Amino acid sequence: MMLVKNVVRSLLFSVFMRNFLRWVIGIRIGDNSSLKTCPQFIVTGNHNSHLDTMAILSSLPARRLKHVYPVAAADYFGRTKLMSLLSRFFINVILIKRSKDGSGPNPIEVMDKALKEGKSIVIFPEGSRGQPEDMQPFKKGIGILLVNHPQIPFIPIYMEGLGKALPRGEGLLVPFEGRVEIGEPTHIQSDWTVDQVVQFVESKVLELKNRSKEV
Amino acid sequence: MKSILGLSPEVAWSLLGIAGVLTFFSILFFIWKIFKPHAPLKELIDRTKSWWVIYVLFVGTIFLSKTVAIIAIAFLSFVALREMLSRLDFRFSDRRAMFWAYLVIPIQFYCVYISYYRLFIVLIPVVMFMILPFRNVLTGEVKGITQSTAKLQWALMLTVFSLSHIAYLLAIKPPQGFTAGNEAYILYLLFLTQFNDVLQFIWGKLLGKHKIIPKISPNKTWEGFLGGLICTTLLAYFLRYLTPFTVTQSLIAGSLISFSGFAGDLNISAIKRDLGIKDMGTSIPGHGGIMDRLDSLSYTALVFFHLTHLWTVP
Repeated sequence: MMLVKNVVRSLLFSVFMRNFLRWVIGIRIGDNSSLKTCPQFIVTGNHNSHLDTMAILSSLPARRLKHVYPVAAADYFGRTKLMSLLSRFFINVILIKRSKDGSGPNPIEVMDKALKEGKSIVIFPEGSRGQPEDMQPFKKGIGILLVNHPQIPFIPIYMEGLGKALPRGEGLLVPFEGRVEIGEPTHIQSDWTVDQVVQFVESKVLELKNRSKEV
Repeated sequence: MKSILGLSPEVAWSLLGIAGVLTFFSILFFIWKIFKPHAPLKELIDRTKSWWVIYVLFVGTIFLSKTVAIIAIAFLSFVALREMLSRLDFRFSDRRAMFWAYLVIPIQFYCVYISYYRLFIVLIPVVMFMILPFRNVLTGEVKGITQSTAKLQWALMLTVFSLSHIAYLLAIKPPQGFTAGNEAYILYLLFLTQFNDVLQFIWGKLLGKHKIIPKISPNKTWEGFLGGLICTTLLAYFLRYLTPFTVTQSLIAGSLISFSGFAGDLNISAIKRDLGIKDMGTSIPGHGGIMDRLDSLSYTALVFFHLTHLWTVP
């Protein structure tokens, strides 16, 4: 069963989705060598579109897919039993609840546990997808996670254009050129506070914005 | 006359000639690089490499079969349209109309496939001309609707409408006694267009003094323009065996390709100036985006097609 799942997911993301994004939507995926070599990591990306998760999973080398778990909100990806089953199977998603009242498991604890099990995770520290192509300030969660696990590096990813291809609340996919820039695995200093870490991660993601334009 | 690998001898020899020119430049830059390792050749070498890729893709698609050629040109115009729509700063509410603009591509090229000229020639300038603004009106977002609608129609004309004429060259009924094959039309058009670009550039570099429109393109000089015009017209004369044209017709075709190529080039340059960007995209290393390479072709394709249609279709 695991083998079937791995093969299906490799075909889906590394073959179908990658080429679909590249040729139909027009998304260029940058150099992904940092995702190839780093054993465990937290991917931190900016969030514009449902395509973001697809784009990050498509950026992964096929054999790394099974180690990487995107973290997503249960109120969307877990709307129905079927939806949560499908997203667990295909996307490997870890569902978290965005509840204000604190009911259910604490999202940070869920992610902590995943990291302790040796999983790599993908998170979007802006929380929800904001206005298309407009980066929101990062939330604290990423800071807490990295302070708890200073030995795990984060890999910043900057995505552009995907929010134009499939913005929030839209069901119609329209081709629009964009890019996925993948940064280097970066460790934080162990004496940093949560806020410092959040700012650092945010600046690393923003740094990538100007990368390919300079070349 | 015998055909070579399914190609008419005229086409086969021309392709061989182009491969020769590319080989010459590849070797030239290679040797130049050995003797002067620090010469700023990267862009030229990248360009030559891209030309090889374009050449191989061109030969591998246009001459494989008519169907493959039409699909390849349809895909090219899709990428070109996507590039334009991604650069031209559309509003969020234009997405629906943009989607319709993409949808017209398969219909336009299906018209080419079944040689349905009546619809082919009106689909974008007449039908879409009415549908796109209407779709935009339906969104109810009026702020900036004039610009959006104009940009969308213009982008569609420059990319899909124009490039589909290259494909339609394959669907024109050739006059009796013309043996080079319809692919030869495409070869003639592309070769003259691209050669004109390069020749204007070279003459401009060699003799260029008097700038034509420095605000838009500082590299365009009268010397380059006239040098390109003369050379391209001569080349059109010498390569006229690829067409059923008379001597006069080939001279007219050559000079009009040179003129319109120049205009098409400036047209895209002006857009880039306006947007404050150097290239329209990053699809082709050394060349920039698709429309950076197809700028002149977006005009010459229309001019050449209608000349050919006028002179050969009764």
